[in-house]
Amino acid sequence: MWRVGLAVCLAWPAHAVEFSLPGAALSVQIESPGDSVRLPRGRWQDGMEVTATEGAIRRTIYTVENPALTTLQLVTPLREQLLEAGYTEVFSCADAACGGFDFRFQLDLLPAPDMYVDLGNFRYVLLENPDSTSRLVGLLASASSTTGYVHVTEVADTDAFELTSPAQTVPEPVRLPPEGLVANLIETGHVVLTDLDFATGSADLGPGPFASLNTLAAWLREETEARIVLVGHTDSVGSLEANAALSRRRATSVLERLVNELGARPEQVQADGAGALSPVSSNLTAEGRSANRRVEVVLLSL
Amino acid sequence: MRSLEQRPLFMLRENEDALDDMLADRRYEQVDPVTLYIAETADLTAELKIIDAMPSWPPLAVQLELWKAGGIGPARVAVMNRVTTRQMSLLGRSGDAPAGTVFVALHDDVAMVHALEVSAEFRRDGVGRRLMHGAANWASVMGASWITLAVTRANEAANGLYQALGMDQAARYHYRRAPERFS
Repeated sequence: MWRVGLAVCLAWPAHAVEFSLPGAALSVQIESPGDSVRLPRGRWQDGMEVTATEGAIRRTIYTVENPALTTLQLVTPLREQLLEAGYTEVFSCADAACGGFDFRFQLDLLPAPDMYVDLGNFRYVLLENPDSTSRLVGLLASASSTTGYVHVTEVADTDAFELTSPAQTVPEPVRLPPEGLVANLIETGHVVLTDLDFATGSADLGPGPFASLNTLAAWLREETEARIVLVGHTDSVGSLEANAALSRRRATSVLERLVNELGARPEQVQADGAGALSPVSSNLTAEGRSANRRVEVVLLSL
Repeated sequence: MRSLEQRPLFMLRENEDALDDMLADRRYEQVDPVTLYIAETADLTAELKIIDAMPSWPPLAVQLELWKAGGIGPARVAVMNRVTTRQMSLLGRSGDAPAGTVFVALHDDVAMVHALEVSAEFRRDGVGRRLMHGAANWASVMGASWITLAVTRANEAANGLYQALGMDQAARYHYRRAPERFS
């Protein structure tokens, strides 16, 4: 997954509470120096508006590959560590008793697929300690059929941080920011590579360089979990069989460029061909046929 | 409403039997009983050749033609265009022929399928099933846990497909329309 890069380097103070959750892996952590977050202090009631709390926000997702754990078992270790550290419990509830669906959508959680919330099986705990750096901590636990998830939201006062400018430190980029094409691919699962050139009847990709492929390859190198399929399309000139084969060869040409020259790993990329099945434009004009000879990218997983 | 020659129309959900009975007593006719189906996205995803359900947004001309032939005209497509969240259309095929199309859009954790249309000449060829799997595959990549849709109960082929896919019936509703003249 792509993460929002930080404009400034933010270090959560070392003296903040350090959690540990047995058997769990920290899967995502995102910090924001100044933001607001909703942390309900009671169950959902119709028409209620949960006031947002402002401050520095840190959101962390822990996952446990153990389908047997209940949401209570998931939150208990963290809750106990916080109580020991002087926190008091403000509110806690479980699924329907929290207010089910409406309650869940008052929570500003990191989105799926990193976080998973089963609306019929979650547990929420809000703890508070004015003396601690993380003065508010919201815990939300849920479980899929294979994995337990705990989402931790911490709120601290913004002035508890020393903000350092990017010029002074060179933070490891959290993720490459997806520009244009990649943003579109992530957003919609599909994008057309508009800058490639193929001659009618030819599967050979021009020499390039093609900005779309450079961008795509850079993203694939960064997002090693991402898998895509390249789908070739032809114009309607020629037989069905020939076009099906040609479109697949076009997609394969692009695959080879990505893998052999631009550093994408072969297991991340597949190629297929749709022939002249899905024209984007009229096959009656040269411009239309040119637009129809194309390769598209479909996101298979991220 | 009546002066515009429109007839009052009530939407009745499952817990509104009392109102439903009252309207029935007043000879309001039942219109378009609808079933809402739902499934966990993960239960509906399947290994599929990508060209069996090829994503495209905006929809291709051939998809607009398929919808039009099935009675889904520009007004309905305009509604799909107005969706402000993530949206996608998928083109289904039978062999080398475009054979069906579907629209799917996201709301938070839920993917809503709409306007699944299979061309009359390609029915019973698995086109609808593959499009539903394609919609679920897209929903899965987009992170939606649920996939859902509404279909009129009169549409037997569609109801059969969704049941065969193992989708659950989550809710039902229908409308009642006032009789032409009040007695």
